[in-house]
Amino acid sequence: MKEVSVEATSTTPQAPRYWTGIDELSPSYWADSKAQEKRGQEFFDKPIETLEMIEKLDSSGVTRRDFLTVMGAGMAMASFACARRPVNKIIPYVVQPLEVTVGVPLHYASTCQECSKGCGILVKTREGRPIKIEGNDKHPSNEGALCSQGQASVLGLYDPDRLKGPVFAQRSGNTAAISWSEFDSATVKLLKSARSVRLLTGATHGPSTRKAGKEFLAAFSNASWIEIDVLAEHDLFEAAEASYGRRVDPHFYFEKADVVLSVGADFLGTWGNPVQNSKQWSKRRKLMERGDSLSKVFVAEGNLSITGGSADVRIPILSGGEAAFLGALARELIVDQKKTRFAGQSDVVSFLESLPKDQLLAKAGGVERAKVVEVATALYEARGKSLVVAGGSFAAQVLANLLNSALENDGVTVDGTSEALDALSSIRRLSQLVAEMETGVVDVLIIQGTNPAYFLPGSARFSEALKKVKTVISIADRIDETAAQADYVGAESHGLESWGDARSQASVYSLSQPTISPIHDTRSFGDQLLAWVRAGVAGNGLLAQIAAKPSSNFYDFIKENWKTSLYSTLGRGKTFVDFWETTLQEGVVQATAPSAFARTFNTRALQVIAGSLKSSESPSITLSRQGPVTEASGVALQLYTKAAIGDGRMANNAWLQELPEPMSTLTWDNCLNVSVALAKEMDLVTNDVVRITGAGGATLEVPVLVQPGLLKGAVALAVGYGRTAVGKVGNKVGVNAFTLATLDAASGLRLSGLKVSFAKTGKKYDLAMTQAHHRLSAQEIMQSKDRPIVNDISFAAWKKDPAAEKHTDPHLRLKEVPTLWAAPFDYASQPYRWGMAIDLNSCTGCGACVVACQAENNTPVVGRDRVRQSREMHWLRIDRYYSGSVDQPSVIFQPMTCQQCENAPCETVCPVLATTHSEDGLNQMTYSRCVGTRYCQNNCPYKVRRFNFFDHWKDYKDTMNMVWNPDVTVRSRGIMEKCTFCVQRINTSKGKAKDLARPIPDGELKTACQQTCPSEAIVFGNINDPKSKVSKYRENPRAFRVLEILNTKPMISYMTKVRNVEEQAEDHHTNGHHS
Amino acid sequence: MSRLPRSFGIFVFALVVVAGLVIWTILPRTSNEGYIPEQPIPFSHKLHAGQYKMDCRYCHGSAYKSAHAGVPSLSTCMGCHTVVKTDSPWIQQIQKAYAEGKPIEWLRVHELPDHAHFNHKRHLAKGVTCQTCHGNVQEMDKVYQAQPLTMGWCLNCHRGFEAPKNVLKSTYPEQENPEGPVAPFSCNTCHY
Repeated sequence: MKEVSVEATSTTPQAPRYWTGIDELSPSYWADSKAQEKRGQEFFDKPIETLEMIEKLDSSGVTRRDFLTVMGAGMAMASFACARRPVNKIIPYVVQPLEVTVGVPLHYASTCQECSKGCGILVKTREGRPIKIEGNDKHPSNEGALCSQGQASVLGLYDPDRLKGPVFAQRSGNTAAISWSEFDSATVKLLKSARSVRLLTGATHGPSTRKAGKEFLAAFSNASWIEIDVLAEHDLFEAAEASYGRRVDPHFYFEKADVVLSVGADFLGTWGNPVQNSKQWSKRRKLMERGDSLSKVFVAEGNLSITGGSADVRIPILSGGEAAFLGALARELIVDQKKTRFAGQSDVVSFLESLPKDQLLAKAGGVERAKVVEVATALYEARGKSLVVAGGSFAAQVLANLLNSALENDGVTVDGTSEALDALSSIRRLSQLVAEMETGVVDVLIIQGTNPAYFLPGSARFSEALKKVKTVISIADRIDETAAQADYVGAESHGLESWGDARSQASVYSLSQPTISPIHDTRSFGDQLLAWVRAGVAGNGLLAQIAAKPSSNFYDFIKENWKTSLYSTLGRGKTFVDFWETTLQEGVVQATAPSAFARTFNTRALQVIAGSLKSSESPSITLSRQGPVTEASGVALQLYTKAAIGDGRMANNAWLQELPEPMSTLTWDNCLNVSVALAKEMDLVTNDVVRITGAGGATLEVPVLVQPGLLKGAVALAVGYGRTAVGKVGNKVGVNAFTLATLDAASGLRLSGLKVSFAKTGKKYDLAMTQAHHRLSAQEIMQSKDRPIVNDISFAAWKKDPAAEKHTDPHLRLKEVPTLWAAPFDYASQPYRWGMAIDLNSCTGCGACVVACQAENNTPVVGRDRVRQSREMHWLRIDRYYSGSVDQPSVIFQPMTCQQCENAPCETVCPVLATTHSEDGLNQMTYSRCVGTRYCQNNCPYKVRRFNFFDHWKDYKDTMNMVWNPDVTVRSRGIMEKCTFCVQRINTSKGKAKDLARPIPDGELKTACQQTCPSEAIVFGNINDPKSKVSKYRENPRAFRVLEILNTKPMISYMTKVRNVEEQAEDHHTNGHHS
Repeated sequence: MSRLPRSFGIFVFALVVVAGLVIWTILPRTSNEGYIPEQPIPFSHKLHAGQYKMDCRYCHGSAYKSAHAGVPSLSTCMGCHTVVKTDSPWIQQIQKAYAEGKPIEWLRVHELPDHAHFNHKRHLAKGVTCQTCHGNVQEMDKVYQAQPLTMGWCLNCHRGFEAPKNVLKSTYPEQENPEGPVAPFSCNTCHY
């Protein structure tokens, strides 16, 4: 490998090859002594609570001596209190359920209810309470993995802000608790006298709920059902209908694609089912042996998403220019290069010829033609094994369909076997409903599982229209923005408390079962429909039949529905009881996929999009100066989705709020991502507050984050924040970006390509970003090419020499190092020695592992203020490194956790032996011994130790403390903690192995992070077993250890990231390298 | 230098003794050995396990399956006491609690701190008897804590110093007079 050094993008020749923030690219940053001091700080100065305490003391006139006296007395009293052990009680069951053994967890297969994708889950319960959720490896969608939301849903179950029972809300917020019988009788009376009923729900996963809803509505002469998922890919379904004549949710096979082009589709983070996409994508990113292939991923996008970060070639475009980019690409491929079968088809050719190509490229943000040629060539060479996915608009989807058809991908990488979708209404249907409501014809509106008062922009006039509806009944788990305007609110059970079923993809049906009886006096939506029928609404079909049975519930409905509908096709000769119980146990059943239908692209679809493509609206930013304030107008705003927060329904979940956003590492807020170029021109820096003005006149004040990798005219803001009625945790966190969206009859709710203007307000805000925390990057390391913390090479270089780029300076590679100990312990002869390998080539940075670790290990949340002080408690963090230029950076994500060093620097400095080494090679942390000197934290070169400055567990109030994992100690104040490689799981596995008198088989024992990783980037196992997967990973030439030069002998190996680019192309791509 | 009066010496001695007593009183106890609480129902292990020789597992069945030995549910008591000794007021109290679905709130005798994870199943599988840690429960009318249950006491056995003979023998079957550690004593064996 040639020596690669970085030519500074601006002036300095000293800029590091890998950098974490743009400030590091300036030479003054490295020279500045203040910055240097801050870099070296584990925690930032001015701890807030100390200052507050001092201020209080000062103002109250208490002297320091008084303070110490009082404290001393307090200590003495505390000691008295400890003199007797607390008397604890044992309260056994009255009748112990047969399946329960105290202390042994039970797992139930169910379906995740947090979004509409319906991944299979296994719920781990202890003594009847769910404590951890993992993916069900039998489910074909997620194959055992789960995203951060799925991992965090167990905390949502114990959310203390959930409704405790039904309420009479009176549209005023003056709520009065009522009983269910009062709720039923009052609502049924209103329902019976209603001339028209509308049911507005979120995405309904299941065939049974759908059937029950239909049968319920059949009782009314004028009734209809509007089913809305605000972030669903409505354009995708509609484009499928226009292009192929069938409204389907197509299935994409990323594992079969050699070349993938994504235009505005964050398929690894938020688009489609990201867990499934990541699983499939990662299967083509594992490079173990010479000759292994690597897929090539092109991403063109407006914001820098994690998909863009994992792309081989990323092309920054302007949001709203997705269709223009695809149009230019189609024209290049079909007309200019005269390739594919459409080249001879006059209607397609004439349509494409009519597209003004230069204008299209300008609309996409000034993309070079060479880029389009590169993409077109790569896609065509891999035709039949390539894949185009798109997001952003209907036109983009139609063009993606055209390209997939042209490239012969239909039926190969994108299937033609998807069944027609159940009727998920388009967001346009919601506008029609609002119009209906405004005319006053809607008597009763039932709203369940959706929150239009929050996500519809003010221009939609939803709240005003709601006032004209006679009766609004909300079925919700809290008095959210919409339920606050309802007459009656029926308290809804959590997904983990309810029966349900789901169809997560074509031919895959799964069941969800309650894993705890409802904590509060709540009902599932299905049970509510049954209750209404029982209370007098004339039911129909199965719903009436089940309601007539005494003490029946929605379980009976689902079972009967499966018996009459699904059993005949899925039963496969089993008796129904057998079929039902097997399905319930496994959680999922898969039918044989229906035979493929011919996906013949209907070229008439192109005529539909012609207008929007040809409109010659070309982006241009204008900067106007009014005194010292610069206003930028005409910038393209993308309202993007964060994987953790989604559409905001889980905003009250503290685990998700504190999960750093992968690219910006921002917690507890959303911010406006602004390009480096525009920020420079407007003299904006991160933390400046700007006022955005949207097309409809809506304004928002939001802090700025200067984000590398954006085109000058592109800005982005995450939705899902700024909730006002979600609960104590999520209220007023960030701003509601949905208010800037536009709703119109033609294109539904538009979230991308919004033309906005913004100007500086002069205010400042302190964004709680973890980027600069826990740095293991001293100047020497960051600037040295010899001691890389992360590594990446081009595929071409890897093919030549798989060991290339691994610790390039031979003098710094330690071959044989004298041990620190007189008689070193012989770890190699022990039965087990635990090690881990993390493949940087598969890690997408999604953050599911961070939440999984938090759930498994009782890691607390600390809140925004303490994140600002660098006191977040996550045992596992994901470091993000950029390389190359600020305009087109390459991204590497590196999960960083305790390296379980053999020569652990932390162990030698602990004065009380609280951290020591176990015989199976773990760096163990004994909480009960720790006295909190924090020497270990200071001496850890990886900065992975976390200190409890407070009793954070006290924040887990009410029902929330039920979420703790009883196998892991809840740490109190003054204690150091860190990753243990999930030692509780190791001990459980060892016990099982002893019972069965065999060693732990490779792959049986999984750490929480490894188990949930959607891209299988984490491998864990016994490195004393040469046949184990982790041993093979560690011996692979791609493996390197971080800061190996320090002779810490880490037990975690990282695998160099390999980008599928040619060597020259790499230099061009990263734009700063030269040879 | 003049000699201090003798009374001063006595005073200092008395002060030290009193201070010592006060400190001893207020310092937290590491061991609860001998703790013998009054249970809500005077259940006698001497009667059940001693006289009637009921197996420990009849009531504490999960000791062989789980980290926790468990305390029997009321339905286990009612297995016999729907017919046995129904005239006793205590038994009637149990029957009433069972009928009302209200569990009995027993007082915990043996308790380890939350940061120490003890696993009943693993110890029983190794051949450690119930009595090793709990004392001769079959002779106790009122159960009390017979052993210190401190970390040093645990380690004495783990390292093999005071391990039961059968455990030593099964760990080192080839030795005449077996000695050596019988269980792991890494910190994270128990603390995590």
